Amino acid sequence: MAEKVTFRKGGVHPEERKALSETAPLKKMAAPEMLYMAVNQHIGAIAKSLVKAGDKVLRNQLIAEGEGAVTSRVHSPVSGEIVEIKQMVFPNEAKVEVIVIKNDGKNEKAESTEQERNLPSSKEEFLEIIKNAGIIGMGGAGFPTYVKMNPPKDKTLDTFIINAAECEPYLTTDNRLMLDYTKEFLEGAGMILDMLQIKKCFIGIEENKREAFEKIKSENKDARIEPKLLKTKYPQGAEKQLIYALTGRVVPIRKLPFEVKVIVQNVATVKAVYDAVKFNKPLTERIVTLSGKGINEPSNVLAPLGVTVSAIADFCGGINEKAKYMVNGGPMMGKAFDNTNLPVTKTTSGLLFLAEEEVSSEEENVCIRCGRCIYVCPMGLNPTFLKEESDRRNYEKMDDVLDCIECGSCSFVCPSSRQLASSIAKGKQRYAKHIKKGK
Amino acid sequence: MADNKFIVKPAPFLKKPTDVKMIMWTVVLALIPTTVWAIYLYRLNAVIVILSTILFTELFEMLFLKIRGSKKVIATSFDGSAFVTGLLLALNLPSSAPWWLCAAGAFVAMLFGKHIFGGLGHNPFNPALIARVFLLLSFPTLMTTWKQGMSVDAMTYATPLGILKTDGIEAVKSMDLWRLFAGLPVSGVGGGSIGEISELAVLIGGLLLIVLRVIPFFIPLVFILTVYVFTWIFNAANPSVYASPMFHMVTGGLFLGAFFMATDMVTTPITPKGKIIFAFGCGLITSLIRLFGAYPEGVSFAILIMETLTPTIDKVTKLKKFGA
Repeated sequence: MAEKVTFRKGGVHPEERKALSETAPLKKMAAPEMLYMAVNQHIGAIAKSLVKAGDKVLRNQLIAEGEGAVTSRVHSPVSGEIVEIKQMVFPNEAKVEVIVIKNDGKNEKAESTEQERNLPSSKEEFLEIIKNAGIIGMGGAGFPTYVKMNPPKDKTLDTFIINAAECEPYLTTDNRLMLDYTKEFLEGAGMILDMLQIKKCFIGIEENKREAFEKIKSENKDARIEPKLLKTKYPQGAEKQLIYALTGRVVPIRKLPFEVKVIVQNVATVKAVYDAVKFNKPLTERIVTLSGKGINEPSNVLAPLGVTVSAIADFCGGINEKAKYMVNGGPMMGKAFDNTNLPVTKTTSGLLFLAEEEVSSEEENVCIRCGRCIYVCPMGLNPTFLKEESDRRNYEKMDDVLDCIECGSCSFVCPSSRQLASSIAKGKQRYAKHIKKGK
Repeated sequence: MADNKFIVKPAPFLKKPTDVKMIMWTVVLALIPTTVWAIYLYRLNAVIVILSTILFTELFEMLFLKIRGSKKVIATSFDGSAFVTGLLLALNLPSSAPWWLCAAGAFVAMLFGKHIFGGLGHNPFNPALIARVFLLLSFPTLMTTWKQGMSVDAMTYATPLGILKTDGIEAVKSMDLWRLFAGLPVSGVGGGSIGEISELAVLIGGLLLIVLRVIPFFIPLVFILTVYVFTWIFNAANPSVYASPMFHMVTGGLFLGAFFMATDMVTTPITPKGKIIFAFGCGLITSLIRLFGAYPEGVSFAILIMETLTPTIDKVTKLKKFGA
């Protein structure tokens, strides 16, 4: 028995429900006729389209790019023709420009892409490759990876953590990736250690993915890399909680992981780095878990970015009449949406089609001050207080909202079914704007 | 598939099944040993007290919900909260309480203890305690007429704490503390409120609540321990005047208050640190009243006094943020 670690403060145990898609083999989805590439899939400066209707594009060709220190790029997953550029509203309520590409089926790739090449000789070159390949945090946050890997000059790093907790119920993409691309994944991890000159790497895997843990353990030859088993607990995949679980280090409040000499990357991001560095392959595909009782064949799909929800759902046997909710992401933090024409993006780790009986939909009641939200808050906040102050827009008393990681543990345990997390998240947005205005 | 209508609502989409109803009915479950023991001791008298108190509490709950314009009078009145209040109030009454006294208590509990503040979640004081103290001050004789359990005679007696207050320590020295703890009749001694006679029965239910994580263990622990330490100090200093700490453990409403009243979620502090301060205050005031006050017992007053401090305690006890 390997030693199991976890974080200490707060946390909950939602039903895992991974069995639906856990053992489903990886299905590769061929690019359909139409692809919808959002120019903005990342956090940071908005990217702008480099193409216009009527343009011909090749596979892996750069089609959108942003300016500034924190931004990202978008590449075409297929060869074909640009049909139009239009606005679409995404589940986070953001209106985003979408480049619509008609696949010509010829699959012609841009020159020098997808072929083996020499490894970069410097960290700068390495980061440039990652930037050019449009790689962003694929766990859901979407923060540009080249920025995250390049801390301020006065900070040193000694530990690289790969976030393989996959603590959200239903989701099995990281699990699938670790099982099906073990070698590539490990090589990618080694590459990052070389380039960033870090000597230690932990892969944090929750014990409900023991098979992946064992496989990585047996195939790993790199002494710097150590897979570690985590006691299953939500939200273990939250950066600060994961760092604490694996290293015992506490990231100071409102600071980033490099304050404790750590950087964290998601499993899929590591694989994307491998593809970009070794084969000059930009990020144009990802693994998506489709699950829930509302999808006929729960699956793990390697899909080209830009396929619509309805296309990928049809690839998995279609949506059935039980589906009452569609969720982009996991059931704890994901966003519900109702438009099946939206495309898969770089941060789409899962698409859930949930039946009535899978979702809690009780009415909100009054707070009975039981304190359960306080016990489970992994950040040590007082969610019921913050919800009330947020709803009241009492900016004087709600500064703590900035420390909320929106994990939803408070709403999950509330016996009065109060929507604590979403109220606080709204309050956080308003408060951030309020502070900005004040300055 | 095109005709699916999808619902959009905020995350999380999963929820732990525990709800308010479940919590309240678990408290009722935990009060069963105490209730059963009360009925065993006082037979029909206890049944009348318990049934009439609960019945009137539920009726007044419905009435006031209706008046306040609730759309779900029936569903809300059976969320268990009024039932808990009714049962707790009944367990805080003497076996000889007439039905109209129970009704008066139920009225006060529901109106002045709960609905005048806006109902469940908004009341600053435990409704059952408000009612008990109201009855104690308004009907002092009826509220302190104690019979001995399991006996059919019409004699009335004082409680152990009452005897201690009026007759001094010599009068209670020979009492069998184990019998008091278990709630068995002790000759020449009245039982007390029907729910406070057996500490053992209360303890069984209280431990159940701790195991089921309905209440945190440290509230009753700190409350009871504070009374123990305080009474121990005085007993050690002057054993010819002050009763032993063990005597204080097994008498009065200490256990019932510590496990079932000081743990009321709505009216007590929300932070763990605040709960400890609250429990300590309850223990301290209880001891002060028992040792130096005019009343033989002080648990109800102690909890009510501390409840006035709940908002202040919540304000001064800061949580420690992760990374702070």
